[in-house]
Amino acid sequence: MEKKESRPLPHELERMVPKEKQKHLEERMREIIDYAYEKAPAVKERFDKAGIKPKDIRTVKDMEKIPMLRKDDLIALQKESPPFGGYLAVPLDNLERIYQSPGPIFDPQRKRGFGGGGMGPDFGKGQIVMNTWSYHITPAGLGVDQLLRSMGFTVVPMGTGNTELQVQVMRDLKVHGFVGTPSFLKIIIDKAEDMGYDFKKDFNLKWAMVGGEMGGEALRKLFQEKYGILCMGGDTYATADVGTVATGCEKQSGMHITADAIVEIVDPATGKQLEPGEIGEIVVTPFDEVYPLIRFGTGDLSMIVEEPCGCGRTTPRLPKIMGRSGEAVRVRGMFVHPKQTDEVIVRFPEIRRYQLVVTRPQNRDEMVLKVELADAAADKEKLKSALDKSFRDTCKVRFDRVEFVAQGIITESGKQIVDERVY
Amino acid sequence: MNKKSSLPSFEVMEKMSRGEKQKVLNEQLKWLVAYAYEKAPSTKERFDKAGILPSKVTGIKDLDNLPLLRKDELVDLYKANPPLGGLVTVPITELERVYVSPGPIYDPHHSSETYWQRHVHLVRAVGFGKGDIVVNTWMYNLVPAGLMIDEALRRAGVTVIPTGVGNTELQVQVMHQLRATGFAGSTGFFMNIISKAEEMGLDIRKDFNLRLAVIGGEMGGGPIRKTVEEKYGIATGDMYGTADVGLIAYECNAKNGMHIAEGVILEMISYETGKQVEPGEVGEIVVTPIDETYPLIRFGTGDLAGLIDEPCTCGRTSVRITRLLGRVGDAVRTRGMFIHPRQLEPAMAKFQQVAQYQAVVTRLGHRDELTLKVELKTEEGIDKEKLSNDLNKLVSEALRIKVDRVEFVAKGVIPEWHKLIVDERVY
Repeated sequence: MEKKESRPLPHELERMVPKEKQKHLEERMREIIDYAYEKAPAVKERFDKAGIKPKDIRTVKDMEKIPMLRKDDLIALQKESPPFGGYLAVPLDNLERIYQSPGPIFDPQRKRGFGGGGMGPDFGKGQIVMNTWSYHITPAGLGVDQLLRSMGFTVVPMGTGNTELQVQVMRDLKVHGFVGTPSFLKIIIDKAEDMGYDFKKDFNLKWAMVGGEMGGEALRKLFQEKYGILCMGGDTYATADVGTVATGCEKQSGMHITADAIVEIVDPATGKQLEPGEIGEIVVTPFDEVYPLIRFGTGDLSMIVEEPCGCGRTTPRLPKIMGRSGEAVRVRGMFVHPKQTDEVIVRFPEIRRYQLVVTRPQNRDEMVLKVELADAAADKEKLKSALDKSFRDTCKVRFDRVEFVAQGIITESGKQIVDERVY
Repeated sequence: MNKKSSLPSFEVMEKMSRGEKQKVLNEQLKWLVAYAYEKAPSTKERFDKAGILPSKVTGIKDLDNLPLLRKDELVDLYKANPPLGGLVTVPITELERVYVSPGPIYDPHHSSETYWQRHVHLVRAVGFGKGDIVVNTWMYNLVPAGLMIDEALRRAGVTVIPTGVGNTELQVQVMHQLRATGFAGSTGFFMNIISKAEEMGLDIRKDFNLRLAVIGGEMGGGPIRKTVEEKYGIATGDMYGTADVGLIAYECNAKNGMHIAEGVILEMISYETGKQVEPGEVGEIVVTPIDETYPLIRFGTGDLAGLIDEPCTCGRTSVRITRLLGRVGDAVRTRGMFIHPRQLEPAMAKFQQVAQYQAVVTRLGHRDELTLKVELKTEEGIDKEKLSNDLNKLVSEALRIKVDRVEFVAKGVIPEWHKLIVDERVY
């Protein structure tokens, strides 16, 4: 694909007026669709099967016409026509590397990879970073290594494990930055303290780029407040299949959607796009000339936030990953995820167990919240109304009633949300 | 300082006459010495201590009086001048990567063009190129091996599968499903993968697409390589290098010893005299690679090999070395002479009756005693006295010191895996 001279770069796009930006994004979207249709046989097949042509896709809204590609489909396609299931748009011997991720699924090395927030080539000059993602087989470690080096950092390719050595290297080389999971950084800090060091005084660690785990917020807070480690960009959301989807910024208010992909939030059942603020599956179309997975369904849930961010970027944000689509239940158009219901219930210590049951009498979704009390003397009426408010605030949808049940009705191992609807 | 003149292409270098090549390398060396002296404090110190002025260096011969830089000394230098031992010519933050080798030694990532020119040329000469899909099982984290070979292969146009070591079953699947054409890694690990594949019911010849396995890193891989080639129909190749200087020798498809890589100045130094050995003799591999990021001048690898001087049928003019014959430390100094397993081996090979043997050095009073312990295949029909005399004569000649006695021992006295020469002296 020829690059047009006047084309704005990703970090310029990030700050453009949304309308203007949309124009550029849709132009690139049309290009990648034309290109993929021509070069990747599996894309053509998907279009032909759906009876659509690239010219039918003019706007992001039109993307709904293209059936989504799910991970399971991709695994099956790869088995049928190895190694890339017809999605590779360049000759195999043009690839620098081939990775394998759990699935098993093969990933080609792409030019667009684990890019981050449009930072220039001098951003990391003068700084030493430990990269603790695994360098073997999956793209994580090598992808991040390449990104860091392209930003001017000096990378120490540590990989995972060897905690004591990690501590020694971090100290010997006066390492400035850490990249990996928040829990591994915690393990390293704990080890350093076990070894008698005062982490804040004896180490030079200024920042960490941590992600890859749900619920890293608490650890990030600890790193910043107790150890003075700046958690750069908050979280980053990337998958092995499509690379970086969204990255945090210095304001740490969610993750900005990358400017070199089309990211949709859709109803996983229908593939239709949802409104900002509605929870749905993240679907990605990376502008990737090597491996153009058009409308790849990540299986992860989030929502789009359109309000401008204090950092000056105009790109929409994903506040956080809200779970996997398989666990969520869509009720009256809204997804309700166990993470959300847990969040509600945790505010009520008087509740021991709960289960949300969804049924469908007379073509209407009905939600009943079954509750087992820890404290039988609790004021049920008061609790009901408090639950109603709290649930509505968090889940953006109301339950129909609360049912107080005796001990033993809700089992310990029972799912938090049960879908009993019959259509 | 003068700007470094660039090297001719290595496709040209490899066919150059020795004299012409030496001229080119001497020019490079002059530049490298001056540059390292200015930029790497530990190099300046070495030269000053030896009383050698960089401006007086016109070729490698002028460095005879510069003591070798040995691996053990590197560890000390790194400790004394952290983090890079005063050996790297750029600040640490100018490096793309820093590796962590045992010690820990913080090895710099080589960024000089000459270094990559050498590596790309080398992996191509071994037989890899565009269109190959190579499973690279060297370790990618901490040490330089995996990432260095990965980059060399990719620069040579190869598609790399960065599997690293371990996960044998996964390695089999990946190799099978991606129809890998090549393998890079240790001999032992390659054989593990092959046996695992057979265990999984795969036929290596039929189900795999492997064309070339570059397996090395271990001594004595000869018989295994033969099996790989004959039984499985996979060509084998060999590369030799160290974490410090990268790859420095390779086997071409004539399989007649290892060529010294272009862009590397080789000396083969006798551990007895400290002087360059003659062709046909064994010496320590000492190298000075042209590499301005990490200029290790006269780096003593500690590895021993024989020097081969005949021209190779492949047409390359480079000097060759034999497969590795041991480590410098394996030699035992006895009555003032170094005796080494590689001297003992060919002499003992002449005695078909011998099952196992071991030379033992002990100290009786003030004299080193040398005993040759011998286990026979069978005692039937053996004239022990004659055999003892023959052994004594031939081994004494080979070691160039007198064997004090030959001792016939029962099976089991010499363990199955043993050093050929043991030092049991107590002072």
